Amino acid sequence: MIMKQKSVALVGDQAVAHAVRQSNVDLIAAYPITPQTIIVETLNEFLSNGELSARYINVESEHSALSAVIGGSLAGGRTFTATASQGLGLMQEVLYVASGLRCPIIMAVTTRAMSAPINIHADHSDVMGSRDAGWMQIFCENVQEAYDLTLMAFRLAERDDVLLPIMVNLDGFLISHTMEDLKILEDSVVSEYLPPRVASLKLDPERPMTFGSFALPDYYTEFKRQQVEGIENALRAAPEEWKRFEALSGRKYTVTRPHFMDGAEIALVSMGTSAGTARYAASKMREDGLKVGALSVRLFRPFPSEEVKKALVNVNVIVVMDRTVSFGAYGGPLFNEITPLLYGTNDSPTIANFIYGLGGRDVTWRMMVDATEIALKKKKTGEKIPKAQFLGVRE
Amino acid sequence: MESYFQIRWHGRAQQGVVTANQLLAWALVRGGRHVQAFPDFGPERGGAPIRAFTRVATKPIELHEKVYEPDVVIIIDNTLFKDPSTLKGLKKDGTLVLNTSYAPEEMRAHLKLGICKICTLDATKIAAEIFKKPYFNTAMIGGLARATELIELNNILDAAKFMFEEKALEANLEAIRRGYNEAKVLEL
Repeated sequence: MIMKQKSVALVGDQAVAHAVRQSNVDLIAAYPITPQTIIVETLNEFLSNGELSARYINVESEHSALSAVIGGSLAGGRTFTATASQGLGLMQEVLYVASGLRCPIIMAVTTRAMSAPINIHADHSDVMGSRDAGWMQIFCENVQEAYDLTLMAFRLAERDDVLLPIMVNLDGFLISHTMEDLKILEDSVVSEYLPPRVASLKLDPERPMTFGSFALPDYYTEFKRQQVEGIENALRAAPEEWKRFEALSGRKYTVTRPHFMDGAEIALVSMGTSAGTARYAASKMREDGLKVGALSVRLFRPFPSEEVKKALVNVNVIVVMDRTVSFGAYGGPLFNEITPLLYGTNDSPTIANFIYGLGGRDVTWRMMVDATEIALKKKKTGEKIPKAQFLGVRE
Repeated sequence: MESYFQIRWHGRAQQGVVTANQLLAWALVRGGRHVQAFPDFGPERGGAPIRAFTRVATKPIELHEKVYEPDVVIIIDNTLFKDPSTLKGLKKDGTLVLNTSYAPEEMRAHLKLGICKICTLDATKIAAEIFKKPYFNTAMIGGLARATELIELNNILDAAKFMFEEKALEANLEAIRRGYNEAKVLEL
């Protein structure tokens, strides 16, 4: 049954904080960093108002923040943290510990460029630098999704067949500081959807067991193989959990979001806030008679290869938008996921990769049209897989 | 495809541009509209020129870019009038809302502006009398309500009751009402 919801206007960071407030979280530890700061401020407001009963540990760094929630998670608690950019960088070594110990921690990342030069605005260089740390990664397109996907993340992460941490990625400022209308569920409804965590395995003096033991060459590989199984299970588990949420909220979530993809000859593939701009650009180009569709990749880790391949297999020209640089690589991370999927299919499409929106550089729907026109030219000249190029750069 | 109604705000840091934008967003959402309201953050220092944007629609908003072709430009600091970038992209049939003691006819001549509707109000005076501080923002929203059909005055007053703490509420309600009542509008 679709439940009654309240229509409100919040910035993305506040929406995330509301989701955490409603989620029966036991422990929060986070160190403030722009543009995540409003999450920390709002959670502390809730704590001091008595609207949230979680334990909050003040820490001196992001390294300690993540370490603290790992402890809480291993003790069987539901845990949350949030960071961005350099903060995520400082967490780097601990990220692998969280996933290796199978801690279902939820972390909101307000995606932001990495220094130097210092910049506080959105791109995906922080989260892409951590894409192989064994965490799931979900990209939000707007404030509503930041709220919904944070709520849903807890259920997905805590499943015994998954049991892994999740980064919920919301573009810095473009979501974190942008006020939008959204619908929020009532506290009691969320509490029923997300009752307090009951961990199957935990640190318990009554039932002692070891977590994080030494694993030499004789066992390390098996640990990693099991981690792969956990994250790949999420490809099946995420749609199940999201359907359950749809029944309450009426809002449908899928691992990819295709738009006008049926019969599309050209596809714009992107993640985060740009995905909406890509749909807008696709609609504009449809008015001019071009058969353009758009594909939003919502789940980046695990990568939904089958869905992406299915959506793109009959498309002639694919425009892949990467909001980060993979220095010295042929293309960006999203391009590198997509291209091998299409090897040998459909007479091999033209796949044009664009690096855009670095350090908050605005990406307009007209730039998406420019990218499409460049890709169509490549198709004409027979260039199947050109090297990644910058979009909207001054040279 | 639905075209969006778009506003661009120009002011200086600490004049309440972000707050005004969020107040407007609340008012629009309470009226059932879909909204995006976001600032254009630069280096954060007192008095620096800042911009903010509002995008309004009857359906969920897909576009995530800054506002380049506004239906309304609101300039809440009169030292910014001479910056030509403030009027950039303003639609011919759009609306310009200015904080000034001059009449709209005088501003049309002064800016040599052959397009759009012009609305003027002396938000500086209103703020000085009510707050004794340069909080020009809420009076300017009153002007916006007067100059366009985007929103009713009552919706803004209701949203303000929700948004402001009790000690700041009465003064802001008065500023909004005075902004609305004292605004002068000149059609194209």
